[in-house]
Amino acid sequence: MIKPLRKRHVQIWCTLAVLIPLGIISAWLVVPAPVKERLLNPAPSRAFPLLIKSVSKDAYTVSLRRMEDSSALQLEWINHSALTAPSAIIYEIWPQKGINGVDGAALIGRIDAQGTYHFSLEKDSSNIHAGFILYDIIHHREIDRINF
Amino acid sequence: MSVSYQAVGWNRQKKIYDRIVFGFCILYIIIFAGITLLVNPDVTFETLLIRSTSTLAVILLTIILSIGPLCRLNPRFLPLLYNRRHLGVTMFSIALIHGAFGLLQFHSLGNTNPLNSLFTSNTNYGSLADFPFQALGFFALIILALMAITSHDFWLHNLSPKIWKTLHMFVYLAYFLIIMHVMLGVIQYETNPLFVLILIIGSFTIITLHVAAGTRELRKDNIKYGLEKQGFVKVCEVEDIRDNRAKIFCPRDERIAIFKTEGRLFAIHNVCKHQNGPLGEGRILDGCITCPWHGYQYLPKNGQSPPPFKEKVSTYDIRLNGKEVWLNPTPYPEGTERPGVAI
Repeated sequence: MIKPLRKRHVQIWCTLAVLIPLGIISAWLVVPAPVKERLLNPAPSRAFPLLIKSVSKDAYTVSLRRMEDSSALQLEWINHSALTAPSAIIYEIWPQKGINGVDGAALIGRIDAQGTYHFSLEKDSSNIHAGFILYDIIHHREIDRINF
Repeated sequence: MSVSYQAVGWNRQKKIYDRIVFGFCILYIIIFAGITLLVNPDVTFETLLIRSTSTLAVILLTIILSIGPLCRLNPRFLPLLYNRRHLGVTMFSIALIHGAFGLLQFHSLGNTNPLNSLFTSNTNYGSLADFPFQALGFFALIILALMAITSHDFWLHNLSPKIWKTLHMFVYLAYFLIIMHVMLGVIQYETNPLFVLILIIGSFTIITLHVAAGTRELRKDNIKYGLEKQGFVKVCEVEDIRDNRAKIFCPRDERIAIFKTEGRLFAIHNVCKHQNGPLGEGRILDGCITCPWHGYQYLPKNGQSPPPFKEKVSTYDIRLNGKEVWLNPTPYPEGTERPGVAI
């Protein structure tokens, strides 16, 4: 390597030594916290015994379930086939409270392939789990809306 | 070295190198697929392929970018450098599979052209959180493609070493784009901290190696040679140079290698014409100075490659004052025969 090239290499890597950590930290800081916290929590692996409500569509069946003593609620999402959007997120909405879109909605979890998914829901004594939005996080668009 | 261009100038070492690389890639994909299927049996083939190829490409790029500084810090890593281009082309092929399946999975199911969809489905360029990270990966892939296409010596000679080297230094930009592609993409919704850890450890290692090797090399360039008589500077003692080896000095602008062979000392420009390899770190094989990077050869007395090859480098005058070696850093035109000095 010639001397100017050696110098340029050092200059480039000194710049990258600043830019790369800066980029990693900046990107890490904007990771959506609810997603991280929610998805790090292991989802319940078995369906709760009592079925409350169920909605069937061509691609999936979505059910609300609860424990016998009503101590916990669960969303069961059975994907019959792979979604066309590979990474979709489920949000819970409350139209009665004026929350109709993803803004203000509660993040429930992510689905990305054929199979059965179980998500814990916040125990809600007023029992107004009215609906869910399936949201494409890559293209930022609503895929479907499940109303019970 | 070769007088004519071949697709690949195969030899035993290259075959062994490529078999190890190929074996590693296959083994990695099998292990990755096995673990993923155990943890998430419902994963689709496309997702599995996208994820395994992405992680494999990042690991290979980390290795590739580490080879250069590792060789500067320790010559024992030189065998890795010898066939680094094959490793680079392999890494690009794997990244291309990742890119192609990503495009297929994320952008081919709509009524928009997939490439058009890549740039128009998300236009939040002003937002870091929602930044269209796939575009970063696309541009990195373009850089890697240009590098893979021009990796052959044919392009090195036809583009000129200066343009070729400049083009290939864009790999550093590609690396930065890839880091941000991962950080603004999968890391934004990936639960497993392992991905971030691998990325941080990898980039920290590469940065440390490059900065350490670079500063060490600059220090060597800045060594001051005090004594100067009639254009000659004192550089070392005869015993400091091993037989059929060289010592490298940088008394002025460029490095000069002084070789000791068959009872004489010869000085030539340290930079190989092929890919700027450090000739002074090579040795004399079959009477020729042999570049440690890719085996290009030069005669010690005139800096010319033996016929039919046409590469040549500058030569320099040396004097002996007792045991002291004195070097004149003014170069002779490339290929000029100099008698060297008898020990």
